[in-house]
Amino acid sequence: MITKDKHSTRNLLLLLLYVGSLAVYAVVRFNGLWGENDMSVLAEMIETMVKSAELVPANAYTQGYGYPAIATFLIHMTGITTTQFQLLLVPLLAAWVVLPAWLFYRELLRDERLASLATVLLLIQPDLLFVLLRSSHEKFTRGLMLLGYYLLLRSLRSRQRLGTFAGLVFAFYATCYALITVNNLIAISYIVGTALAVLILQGVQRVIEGALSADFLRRMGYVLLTMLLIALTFTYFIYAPSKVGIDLFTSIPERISLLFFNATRSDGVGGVNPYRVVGLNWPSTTVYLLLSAANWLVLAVSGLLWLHTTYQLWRGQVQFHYTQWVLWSLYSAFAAMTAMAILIDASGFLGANLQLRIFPAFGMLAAPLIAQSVRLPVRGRRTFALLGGMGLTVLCILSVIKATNEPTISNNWIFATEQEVEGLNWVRQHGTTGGVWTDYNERINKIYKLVNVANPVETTLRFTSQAQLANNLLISDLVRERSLRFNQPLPVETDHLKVYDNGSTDIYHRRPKSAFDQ
Amino acid sequence: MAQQTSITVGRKAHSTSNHDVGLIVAIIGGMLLAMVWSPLGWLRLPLALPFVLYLPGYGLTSTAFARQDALSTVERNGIAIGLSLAIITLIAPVLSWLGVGIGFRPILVSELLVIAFGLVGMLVRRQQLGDAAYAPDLSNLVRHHWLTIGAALLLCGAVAYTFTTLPTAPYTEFYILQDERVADYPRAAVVGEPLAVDLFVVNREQAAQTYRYEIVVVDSWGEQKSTLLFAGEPFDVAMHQTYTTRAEWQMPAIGDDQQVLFHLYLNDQLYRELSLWINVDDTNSP
Repeated sequence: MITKDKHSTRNLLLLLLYVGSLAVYAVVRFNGLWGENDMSVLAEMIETMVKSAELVPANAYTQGYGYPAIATFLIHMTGITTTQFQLLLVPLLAAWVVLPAWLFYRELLRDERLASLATVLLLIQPDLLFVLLRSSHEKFTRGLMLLGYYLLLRSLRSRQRLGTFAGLVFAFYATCYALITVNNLIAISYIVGTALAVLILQGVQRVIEGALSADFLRRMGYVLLTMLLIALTFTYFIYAPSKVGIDLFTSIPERISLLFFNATRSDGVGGVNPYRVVGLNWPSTTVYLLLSAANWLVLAVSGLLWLHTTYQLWRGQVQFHYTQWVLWSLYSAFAAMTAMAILIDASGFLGANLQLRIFPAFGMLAAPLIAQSVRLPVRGRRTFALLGGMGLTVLCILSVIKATNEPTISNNWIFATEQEVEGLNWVRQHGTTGGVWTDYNERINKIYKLVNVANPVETTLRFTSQAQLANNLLISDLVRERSLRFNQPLPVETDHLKVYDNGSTDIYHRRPKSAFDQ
Repeated sequence: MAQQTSITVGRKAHSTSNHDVGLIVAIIGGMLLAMVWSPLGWLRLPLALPFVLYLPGYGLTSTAFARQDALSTVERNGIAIGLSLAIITLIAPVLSWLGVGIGFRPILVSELLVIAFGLVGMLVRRQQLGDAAYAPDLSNLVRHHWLTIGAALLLCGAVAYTFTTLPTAPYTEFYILQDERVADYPRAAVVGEPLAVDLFVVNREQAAQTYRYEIVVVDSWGEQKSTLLFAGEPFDVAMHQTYTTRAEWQMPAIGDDQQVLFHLYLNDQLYRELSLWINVDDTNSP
């Protein structure tokens, strides 16, 4: 039986508005020119699918066709461009995650008010907010994961009504298939985490007899086996690029890490060391820790609560409803996977970004674990609620700053200005050979490629990271600010020719040194 | 609360026919109209979003969970969106295997078929179940769900704002080219020899502007450090228009590394500046 909350509809709407507002803020803050490598690469894949109308175009996404297909459907029906889709529409779609999150937490906690609180705790975690707000497949993978869990638990609650039960089972497998097509590796790591949870529950069943029904565990086993079969069939037989992607990894440990932990090689594409970038992206570790406070608080509080609960279970002091067992076991499983991921990351043996990928899933389970332990005191209820609300608001603001890489604090700028794009358009239209230098990193290049995804730049514009080899250099106000912040000299020499000026962006042309130079 | 509302609403609904079907038909009709009639083009985005992300799943959800007490409204909405996403991932390979491709028409037709299938199933189940069927009464929508409608309108407003009113910074582009290229600018000259580049002013200031330009030479080695070589007359450039001229000048004195500056003025204020470096000799060197 679920405890109803007369304000649940209002709370849900407020949550939807909260995420919707964040998405609008993320877009407007950077004038719609917010992007990084993954967004740029995915935009190219979407554009290829839109133009070729093929499920497996030349540069197909190796981890599934789901996201490009969803994008293609929306682009054709709405009439917008791939660039508009990636830069403007996709961030706004983040709001949909509120619904599956709330529904899953309602099933887990059997209380609508606690479900709302758990959803708030989920949506203040900056790392999750970042992946939800940016234009990638993750708002769909995370949302579908939550919806899958909800449907599974809801079907367990509806077994006495065959029609509803059958509908929920159908919806569950359809959701799982969608998740696998959007990102098969995230889906498999989700299945592995859930399988680990079921194994933990099998162990619990042996220690605490009658804790869970054998029927429940058997069904969970069948469900996982079916999901794993679908995932592996998709990876190896249905979608050829997936297999190619895995075959790139030659050793068995690498393949296992890729398949079951969704890891990439430390030297591979996307193998960003999440521990090292802290020092590069933020002015100090203190600032990073402050902005990530919601992550660490959720991690620490949920860890302590889990330890306390586990001790009580061990001593036989508490009785669990099966949904509490599900939450406890899922949390244990994903906590173990995250811990393993951090160890593997630290060793550098298999991957370098494991925890980055597994942590958001862990955060999804930490939120309800905390929410279920919240008890408002009888006296001072309002004061407690007010203080809690203020604390959550502060955490929310800090998280938004981190999730959007607010440039006044973050060194990791992932936006460009219209004038920078216009400056590059000019170089592209009139420039000659020799390449163009744009910044100390690929900030502008990635966004420029995203903006021009319908008209690829490769043949007409060559970016170079070595200023001394560039024929043209783009120096904008942002580049000057970055130069000051990183204490790096601007690569412009005194005798460079300044041939373009739009107020905030200049193009410098290398002064010819010989008769053969242009 | 949500479940109670849907029960109450559902009971009233059966006698007041299938309002949701009417709304779905209106959304699809409006979207198709917006696709073919450009004055309504602005409606395409807000109507196509539910067409792709909600309606296919709504029909199937209403068929599979036809009883009004099977699921709450929130559950129905969550499942409808999830199923709509799942349907895309199922349709896409089918279109590909059929050989029709994932293009505009196959997508439109397949989504319409799925929605139609869902609606037929939904209507059949409603007929079978009678008063027990889920059938939201939209005539009371505003009274019962004003908050939902308000939030939906706010979200739509956010989408519209994001798409239509992203501020465009006003600015002017000022640049020089030689034969349409960023290359072959004058690098050496003889005193008194005419030099020239193509000079461009692009007005992106959101209003017509009056500009003028000057050419100045700076010889850091010479006695007179800065010499005005040319002062042009003011010229008007309409919004989003480009002004082009052949800027010509002569170098007044011998000397290496002389900097030629092109100053663009707006309202008599120096607004933009470009520069070239030129070595000047008294004769043409071989």
